[in-house]
Amino acid sequence: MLSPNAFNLIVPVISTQQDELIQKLDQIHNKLLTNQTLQFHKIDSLHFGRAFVIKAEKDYPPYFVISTNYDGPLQAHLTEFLVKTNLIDLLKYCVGFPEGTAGNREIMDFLIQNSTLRAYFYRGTWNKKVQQILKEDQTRKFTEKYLDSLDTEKMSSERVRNKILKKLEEEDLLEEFPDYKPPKILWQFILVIIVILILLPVWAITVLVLILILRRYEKTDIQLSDTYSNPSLVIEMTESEDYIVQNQLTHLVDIKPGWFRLKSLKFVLGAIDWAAKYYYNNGKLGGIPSIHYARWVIIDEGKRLLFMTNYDGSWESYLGDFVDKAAIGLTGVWSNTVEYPKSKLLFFKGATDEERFKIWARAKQIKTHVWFTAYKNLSVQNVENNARINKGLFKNLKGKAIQKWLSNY
Amino acid sequence: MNRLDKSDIQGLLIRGYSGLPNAFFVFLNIKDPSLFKNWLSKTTFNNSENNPKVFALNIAFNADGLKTLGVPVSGTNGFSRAFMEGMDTDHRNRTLGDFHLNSYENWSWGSRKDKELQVLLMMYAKDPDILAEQYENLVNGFSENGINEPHPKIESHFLPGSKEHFGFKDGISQPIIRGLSQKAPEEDLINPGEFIFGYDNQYRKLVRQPNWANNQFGINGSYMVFRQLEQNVPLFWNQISEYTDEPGNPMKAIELASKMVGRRPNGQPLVVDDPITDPGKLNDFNFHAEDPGGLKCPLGSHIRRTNPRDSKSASPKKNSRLSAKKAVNNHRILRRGRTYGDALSPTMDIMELIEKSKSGNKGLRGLNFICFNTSIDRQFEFVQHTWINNRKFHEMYNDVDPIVGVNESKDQMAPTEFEVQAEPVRKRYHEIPAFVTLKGGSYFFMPGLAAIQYLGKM
Repeated sequence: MLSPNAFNLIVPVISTQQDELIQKLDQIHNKLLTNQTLQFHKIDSLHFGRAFVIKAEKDYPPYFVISTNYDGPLQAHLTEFLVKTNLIDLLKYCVGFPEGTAGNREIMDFLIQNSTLRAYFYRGTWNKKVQQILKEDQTRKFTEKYLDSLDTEKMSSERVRNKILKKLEEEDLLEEFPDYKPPKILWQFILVIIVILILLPVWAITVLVLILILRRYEKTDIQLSDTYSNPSLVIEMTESEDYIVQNQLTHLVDIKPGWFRLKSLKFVLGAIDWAAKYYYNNGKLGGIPSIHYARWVIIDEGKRLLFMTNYDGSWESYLGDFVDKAAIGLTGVWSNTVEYPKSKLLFFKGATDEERFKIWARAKQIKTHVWFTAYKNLSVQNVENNARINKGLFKNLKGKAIQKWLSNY
Repeated sequence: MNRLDKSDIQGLLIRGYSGLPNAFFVFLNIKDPSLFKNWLSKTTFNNSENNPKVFALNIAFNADGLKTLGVPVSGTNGFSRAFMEGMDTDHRNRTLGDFHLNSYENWSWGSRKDKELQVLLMMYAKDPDILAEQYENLVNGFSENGINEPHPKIESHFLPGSKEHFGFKDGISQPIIRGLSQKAPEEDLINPGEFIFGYDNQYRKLVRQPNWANNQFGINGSYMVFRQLEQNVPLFWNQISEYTDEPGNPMKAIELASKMVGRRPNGQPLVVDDPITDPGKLNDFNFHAEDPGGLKCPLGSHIRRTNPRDSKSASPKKNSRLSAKKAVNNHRILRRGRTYGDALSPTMDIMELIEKSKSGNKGLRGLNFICFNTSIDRQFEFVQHTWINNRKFHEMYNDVDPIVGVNESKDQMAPTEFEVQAEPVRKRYHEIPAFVTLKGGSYFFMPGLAAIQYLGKM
């Protein structure tokens, strides 16, 4: 089973209650670890969690969104919410929530019925439960302190390794975790290539026609201006950024009208979702190593695109990395949305207009009222490194491999 | 790409004025805008065409200064958020590490409480007497020119050997601007638009610039970052000596200090084994091929952080290294800083510095850190946040720049380590104290000469 998984509850809020719910969420965020309503920190299966309100605009109602990245089966994860939190105090603001006293059964049904929208999902770290991540970091920290206390300069790498193993055993810190094996790509990939080659004459003409339609659209696309029209909105976003190494962002845009754009969007998202399972499944998305999780959800029946991500480092470095290394992926997705910098052939230009792209990204960012992380001091690379170290404790390492393993500390 | 218009670019941008070792940084306030504008139109500011032999004058304005002169400073007019909001905001404090000892409460100028600073006047001279004379003329003209001086000026003079106060040769690494005469391999050339408005940047786009006044106002100008960094030289050498396993042996202290910087005091980069005799070649090196693991030059050392070059390459292959370097070249800054204060030892000989540090006082000395860039977010702030103060730099856990990094988060003392990679395992140095503290800072806009004339005639 793929792990962790993505859960997103997206449900309309009773419109007169929107502001009260937002107030409640703000209060929760100010007391993230002590509030009595949404106790994210008690959920053992939770990696990252967020709760926010999409404010009502145009014809759209306000929405309440809870988005989590979790271990294990969904039922067990949601049961943790029912048992350990008072989530019901927030759910009662939602349209369709059972009136009066709702039993656990009814609440569970409500959660599941309102979380059916597909998440196109990228995982930065695979098959490592929260407890594993925390324990591996603890073990490494302990070992680092131990190494500091030794005079290692004249020791051989074997001797250092043996000392570490002995000490960890004494302290009962040796715990092996299941090995991670990403899904293999090979046969699927070959099958797809064969099918493409067989159907060459058919799809070539179709693609040509699609390209012509696309170019007509692209020529008349409008794009957002490349100057800041409302800097105070950005300031509001930055108020919750850069307290720890990890940051988050929630992003909402209108999808360009018409079936063509929606189909293109779904096609590209589907391809990314597939690549995230079979190709970009080792901690890097297009060469970018700082993304914990990223997901896209199409809401309002194909009218808007919601994007949520947890990443390391500053907003500027995160988006800058994307522009430098994965502009094609960004543009492939978001050129199908309104006011994106002008694209060419779906994947080109777009995000390469660096300043305009960053202004657009800030303009479409929305507030994430409550945000929680189970391992706030660890970057993706820290998590991967800790796992590498831990695995190495149980391998039969010889010669140069020992030195290579020691350099992870 | 357009040729650089040296007649319109203020001299400090293109030239470092290395022939003018003395300087005053004068903080001004505009008491009467129309008198001040008169003064602006009458005064000659240096452009970049010639190398001044005797004296040079340049000027820059913060957002408040431009507003006082009637410039509409807003996002729609192309001004950057960083410039408009200023260096001292809550979020920027977190980005730049400006809290606790570096908190704005300790700044003598430029903080959010400083409502008077509007103009920065920079005077450079070969001879200190000329400098004093020019400054006196300026002061004598204060009332007729509508000028106030809200804070004491900062004086600057070079130290022997082009060193900074800790004893290390400084200013070696500068971006090489494409279009100027200096020859360099293609991979090392940086587009001028990174530092000067009106030209292509590294994305081959014209940088978004202050576009007011028929889109002319920003051309040939730049954003200037100025931070007054005070250096505690005795603390530096005493603490480093204590960290070594032979505190009485100055050679060990020099070795550890070099590991922290990434170069030896004479400028020799640690990654290069053979001594470099030609000072022009002190910057000819890369990291990845010679030292991917940081065994020669620690991964978190100062120069490896402030310009990683090809450090972050995924593999030793040439293409991968070039691509890593290319990504790094989107974050270069053009440094024009100057040391200030008397040296702890007049000769700047390292052994003397170490000796004098044993009984030395902190004193008032440091670096007026000045750099130019057209995108404050992507260049200066990026270097400060993502490279210097990033605990997770280069896949490490809790390591910030040992020389200038800040090892405290806003809400709690969160000590960091400095890791020196070694075999069999790394050596860690804990809780490095603050050798450098921030005494003032601000973002300025340095206009082109035509823009200054325009301001003067408004």
